Amino acid sequence: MSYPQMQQVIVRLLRDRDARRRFFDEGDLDADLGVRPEEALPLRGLDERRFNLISEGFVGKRFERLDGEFRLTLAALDQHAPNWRVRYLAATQIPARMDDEFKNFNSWLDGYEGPLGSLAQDLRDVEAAIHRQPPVKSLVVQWDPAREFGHAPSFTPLLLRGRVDRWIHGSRSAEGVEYPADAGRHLVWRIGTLLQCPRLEGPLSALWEACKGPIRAKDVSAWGNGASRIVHEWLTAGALVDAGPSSPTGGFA
Amino acid sequence: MVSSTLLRGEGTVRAHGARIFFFSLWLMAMESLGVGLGYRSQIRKDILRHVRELDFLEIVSDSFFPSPSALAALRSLIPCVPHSLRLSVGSSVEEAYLDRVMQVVAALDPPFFTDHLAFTHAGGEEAGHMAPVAYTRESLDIVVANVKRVQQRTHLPFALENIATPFVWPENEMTEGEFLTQLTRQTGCFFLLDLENVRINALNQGENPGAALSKLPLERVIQTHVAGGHHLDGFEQDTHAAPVSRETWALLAELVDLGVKPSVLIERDAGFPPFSELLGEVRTARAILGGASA
Repeated sequence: MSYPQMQQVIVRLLRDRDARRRFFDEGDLDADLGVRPEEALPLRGLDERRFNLISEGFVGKRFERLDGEFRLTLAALDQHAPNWRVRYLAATQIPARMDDEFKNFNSWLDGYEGPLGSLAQDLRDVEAAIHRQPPVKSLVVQWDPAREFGHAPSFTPLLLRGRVDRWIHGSRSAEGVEYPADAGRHLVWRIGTLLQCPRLEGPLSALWEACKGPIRAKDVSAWGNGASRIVHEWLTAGALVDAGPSSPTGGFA
Repeated sequence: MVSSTLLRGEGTVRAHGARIFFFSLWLMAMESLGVGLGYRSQIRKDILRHVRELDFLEIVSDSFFPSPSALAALRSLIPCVPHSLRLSVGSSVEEAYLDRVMQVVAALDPPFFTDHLAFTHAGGEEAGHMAPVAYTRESLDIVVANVKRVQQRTHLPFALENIATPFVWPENEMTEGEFLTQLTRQTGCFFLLDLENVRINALNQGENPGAALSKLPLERVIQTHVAGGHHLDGFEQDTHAAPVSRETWALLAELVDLGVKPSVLIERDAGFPPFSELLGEVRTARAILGGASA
């Protein structure tokens, strides 16, 4: 067995609890590794408990990774479905590629039927869309030490919380939809230009739909539906700087 | 009070004294960054509030891959050192990952940048954790080639950190110290010395931490990590979720006794205490660097 093959075996043992159990208990190795079990004999002397401990220790990092992408979705699940993390871990393995953790989560959430069901999926969709595309392209997001950062440009969720709460209030009676009273806090984290949320209605929907493609602050004022007020709030709150040729406040001042 | 001599390994440390002295003179020219803290979002507000009480921050590069430009504002406040997690110099460095690391490096314009002596993937599959490299000639050749590839991307010094090893390869041909010495000689890379990992590995392998420290290429140390761990199921674990242990402080004092005064980074990833406690650890590190015992 070559060194790269041994490394591959180690990776599989660290990642896959079933493969680990089969190897240490029965000496079996997954066929796709291309290594005969007798070749891997030297590795059977390693301590299985250490591998288990490491694997368990990685649980936190898996959730950290998800938290970076779906912060509010996870927060909402934690609040309304306290045992969801245990269920998620039981249903999924450490993925072969780190980025596949998101696929894991998406697939799991698609089939999720616990508390918060449809809102959790909405939140996931909104947050995923926001990460895919930064806000209004010609408006440069100004970093603010008081604001979370580390991912795509972000907005202060409280700026829009009231509006989203009103939108959700209008949807609350829809069949099969159950939203908590403070859904707006969960829902709005970042606003993306290509936001696609099938249940989105009202002024915010108009704004988000209109934000596809490069625009300037002053253009937004022509859209109506409350768009100018929203952008004005973003500007005055320091979340945006007008990088276009128009005035710093895009005519909203 | 823990005397650094308690952890000293049978005089072997002193044998390295002269060699360390001369290399330390060279490293001193780079000027220690002082004492810093690992930037974590959980303590972001406290860090920004107390930024003047810190000398530098270590930034987990991977956290800023989506928007490295966001780091410009942070860099304007305090020197920052990027620390990436998945270069995987022990197996193969992926070009796309290296590109992203370099974007963060460019955004921070740091004095040096760091990753780990480990592999995190093999055969297209990720481990989800850092795994130790085998200390063999074959493995050394792989790591040397990968480090040189990283170094070709920038003139900045590059350092590798010793990890907490969950296992020891059964067919090792040399010790960790011998491997690191060969690696630093062949590539000119530097050593990010994680003192907590030295302590953990030594105890898990039935060694004396001070003796284990003495076997490492201390003359190439450019930065140290200190952290706290836990004893779980019969093993020392590098949880980074506890205060820095007395033994780890003593290892730092050991280094200082030898004339090595690198930048010191307090690592805390979970179980965050009141920020005043972390600032207390910063002050402890400064005191040790200044010559006092922990």
